Amino acid sequence: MDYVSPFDEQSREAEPLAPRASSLDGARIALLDISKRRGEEFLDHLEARLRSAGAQVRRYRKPTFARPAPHDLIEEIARDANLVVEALAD
Amino acid sequence: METRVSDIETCHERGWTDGLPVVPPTPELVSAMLASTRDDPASVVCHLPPASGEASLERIAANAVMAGCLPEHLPVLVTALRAAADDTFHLYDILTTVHSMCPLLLVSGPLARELDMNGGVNALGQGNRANASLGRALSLCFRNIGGARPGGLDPATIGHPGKYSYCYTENSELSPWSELHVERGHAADASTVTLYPADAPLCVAEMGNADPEHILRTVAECAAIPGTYNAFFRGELWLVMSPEHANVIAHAGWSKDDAKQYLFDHARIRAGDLSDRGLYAFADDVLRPPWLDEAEPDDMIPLVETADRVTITVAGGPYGGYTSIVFGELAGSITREIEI
Repeated sequence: MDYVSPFDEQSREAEPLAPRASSLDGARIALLDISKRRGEEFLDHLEARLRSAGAQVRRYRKPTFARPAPHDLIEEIARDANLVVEALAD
Repeated sequence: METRVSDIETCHERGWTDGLPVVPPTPELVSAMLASTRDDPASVVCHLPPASGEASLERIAANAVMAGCLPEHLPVLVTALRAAADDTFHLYDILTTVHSMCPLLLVSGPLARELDMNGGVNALGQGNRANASLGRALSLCFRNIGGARPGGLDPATIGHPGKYSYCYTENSELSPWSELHVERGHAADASTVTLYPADAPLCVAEMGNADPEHILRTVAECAAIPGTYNAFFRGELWLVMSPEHANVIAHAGWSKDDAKQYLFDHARIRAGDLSDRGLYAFADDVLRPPWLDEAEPDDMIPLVETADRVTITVAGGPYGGYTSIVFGELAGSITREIEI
């Protein structure tokens, strides 16, 4: 039997993962703290390890985890970095 | 066209359902659902978060069919989705939080009666087709069009049963006060939807005390507890008051505004009891309320910022001294008129 799909099929598709970076040497990595508890601690450790692997690291912070990131912040990260790590949830 | 059990199973297999069987959305049933609208079925009513799904009339109608709606329910559903998608309602946050909440739908005005909606006995419970299928259709649209599926983009830690369906109307016959849409400036003969970001209802009993203060003090004390999102955000507080409670209050000469003022004055939490409770330790710089940092430990903090942030609706059967408290979150409710 035919049905009318109740889905927006586009919203059902998972976004494909970006290609994995081949090297961290010289990579510009944005570490995004979403302002949730202990995210900073996690990112501190990650930053130390990434720096020792030769990456350039910059830290960013969302004003609040309860709202999507401001457009300007997303633009800034997109402009400055070629890799992003987001400390999501707790 | 005859529907077989295997068709219902197909809907389960395709991941279209909320766990209960649905009516398979055949082209015939979807066309019938759309019969009363002159708009193009492909026209887009709104985009629904979290996945920004395109809510075309045809997709909305397919979900309405699945939920068990009748064609005359469709204008209510379409208006409710438009209201939900309004930026001020923060639907994205409501659907993607780990907290257990979902939009509660109140239909007000003559259309609620024409659709035979229930505002009487068991108003928030099961048993009425329009209440059940409209609430369910809204939930299915969030799931199927918006992409808020449990375990996926809907990460609610515990969830609550209202996420299947959470829809009612007021008991306008037994209420001593105007319906909510009139209170909010709409004509009495207009019909509206109101959406509120809602926890599960907490039903508070206060029996045998025929005076307003006795009833409202109990409600205020049950509402003023740490750990709710209201205690932290001081957003709107929604009540579903039984006709018995409302009439005791009204017959003593109190208006609805008097009742709200009493709740503003008495639903308070000691600042010192809030500072390390509930969401407070968890808050970031933006969310942390400045009024708490400025308060002395013994200051009594009102649960809402102003008395008009208490919303009182009257629903339920004629007997029983109950008021259900429905806690919310940061965003408040939104009311929109239904165009037929």
